[in-house]
Amino acid sequence: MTAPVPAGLTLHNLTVRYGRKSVLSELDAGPFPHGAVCAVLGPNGSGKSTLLRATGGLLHATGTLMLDGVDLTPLPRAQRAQHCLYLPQTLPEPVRLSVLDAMLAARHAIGRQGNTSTAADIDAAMACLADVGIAQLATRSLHELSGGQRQLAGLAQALGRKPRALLLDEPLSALDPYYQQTVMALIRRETAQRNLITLIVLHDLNMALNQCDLACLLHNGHILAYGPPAEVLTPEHLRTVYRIDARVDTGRDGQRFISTAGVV
Amino acid sequence: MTHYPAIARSYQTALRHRSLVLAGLVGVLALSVLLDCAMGPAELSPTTILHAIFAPAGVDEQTSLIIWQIRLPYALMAACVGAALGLAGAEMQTILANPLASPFTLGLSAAGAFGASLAIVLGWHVAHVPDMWLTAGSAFVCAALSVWILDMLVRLRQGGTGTVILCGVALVFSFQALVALMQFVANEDTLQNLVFWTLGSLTRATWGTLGLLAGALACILPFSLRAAWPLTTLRMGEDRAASLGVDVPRLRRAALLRISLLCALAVAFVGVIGFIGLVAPHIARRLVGEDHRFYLPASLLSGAFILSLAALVARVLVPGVVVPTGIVTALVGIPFFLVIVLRRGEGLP
Repeated sequence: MTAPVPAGLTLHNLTVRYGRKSVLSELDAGPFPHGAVCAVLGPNGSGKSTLLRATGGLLHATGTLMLDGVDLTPLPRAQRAQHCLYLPQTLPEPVRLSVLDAMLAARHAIGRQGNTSTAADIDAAMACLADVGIAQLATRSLHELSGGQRQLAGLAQALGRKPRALLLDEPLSALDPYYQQTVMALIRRETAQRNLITLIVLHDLNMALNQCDLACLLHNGHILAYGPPAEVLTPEHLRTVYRIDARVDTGRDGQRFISTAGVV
Repeated sequence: MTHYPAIARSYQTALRHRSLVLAGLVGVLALSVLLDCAMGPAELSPTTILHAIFAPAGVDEQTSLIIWQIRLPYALMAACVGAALGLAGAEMQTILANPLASPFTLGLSAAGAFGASLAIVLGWHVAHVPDMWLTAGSAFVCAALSVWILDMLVRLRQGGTGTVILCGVALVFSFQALVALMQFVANEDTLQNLVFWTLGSLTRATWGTLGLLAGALACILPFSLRAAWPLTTLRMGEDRAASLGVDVPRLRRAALLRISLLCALAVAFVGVIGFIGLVAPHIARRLVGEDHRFYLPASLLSGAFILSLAALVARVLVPGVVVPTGIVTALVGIPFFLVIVLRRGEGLP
């Protein structure tokens, strides 16, 4: 009898160098389970983006990357992106391309997939747009949309590629509070529905505390703590990592919030 | 799964609309090529021209000679060079993510002119190779070199749009200085020859050069169109394209190779012709949007149409004299460009 294949995403011995400087060295992370949203936290320059980009195959890294028991490291970028999709921090550029065209371009970017007809491609693209709630914008051009709407379009593009792991690099930072909540709720729902492994880089600690299933705290290129957000975001950890003097309180409705008294 | 027949229909309508725009461009291009053939000292009616082109047996020898040896190569060369520059400009604006990128503004044309002038002034000869090929080859090497330098500089600085333009301007001035240096050391005969490159003129078009350029265009276009989807994705941001699995460095290298081939051939045969590569992509974007399956051919056709129009103006502007086309493209292209860009009261896309 063989051992069961470990489900989820696990990084082992991951090392990334920019020139001589190593940003991440021999980092072990995970396992990140299916169906859970995991916040990747840490101050600027702690290696959050690097971690996600290396996992998504955008940076050269050494080490192993196991997704549901299969090592993705030897795969070429196009195939790797089919499994593990990184979504960059920048919004889709406001170009003269309809939302639907953008969906189809993302779908065909690495060659036409299968023998699907255009009508079937459109149905699939529209289903994703409906999932993120912008089906009514399908024929509008990206350059006419707001930043929040473009972020949703970018998310729909990613979902349309049906990855197993979704790596989101600060998807909320360019958005207003309305869209921050909308996008976060959407990410939670789709992660559960599609059984995705979702890693999300956040700067909003309260968002991480209340809306994520797991949190992973990076400090100087290694992982200081990983687990349920309430156990990771403790005043001690915040002091070490962010150098802030913070307190975690619980509100009447059970929501927790972090208030900062100053820097240390 | 839910079906969206209404969306699918409107998408098909949009595709048909864009195809119609392309067909319309082909139509106006054909018209302007014909007009180009009709204009000139010898008055020829449109029917005579059509006869001479499609049923040469039915017209007298002199008319046939005028059409086939003088006017048709000139008119077709204008269209082909315009097409090459239009396509090169479109790809350049996409891979450098810059609406100001064009073979002219970023120094490719100047580099090509320098390459051509090297071959002319130094009088290179290789046995059994026509001089024309040597000139074209030298222009290609220099144009490719300048594209490569540009790409390197931009990569090194991780540069945004500003860096691209600044590096391009540096290249333009460097190569212009080098061309001036070549003119300074050249003797009278070659100097005359050189002025031709720097001003840009279609009058020396022959069926040989025309065939070569058209052939190159026909070989390159399928590769450009095959890269249409990844190029479209690249328009939404380099990182985004990379994250969707596009091998961006490879896509960029292939596009740069195509661009330098197109520019070098255009420069080698007709000299420096500005603004077509800058204007055509903007017109194409306005007409069909940025789906590169349509944008690339639309830019190619717009470029061909504008240069064809400019070539026409170059011949009728001063009776009996053919003004160098490079001078006219600016005069015709720029107002046209301004009208298109300012029409909807928007800035550069």
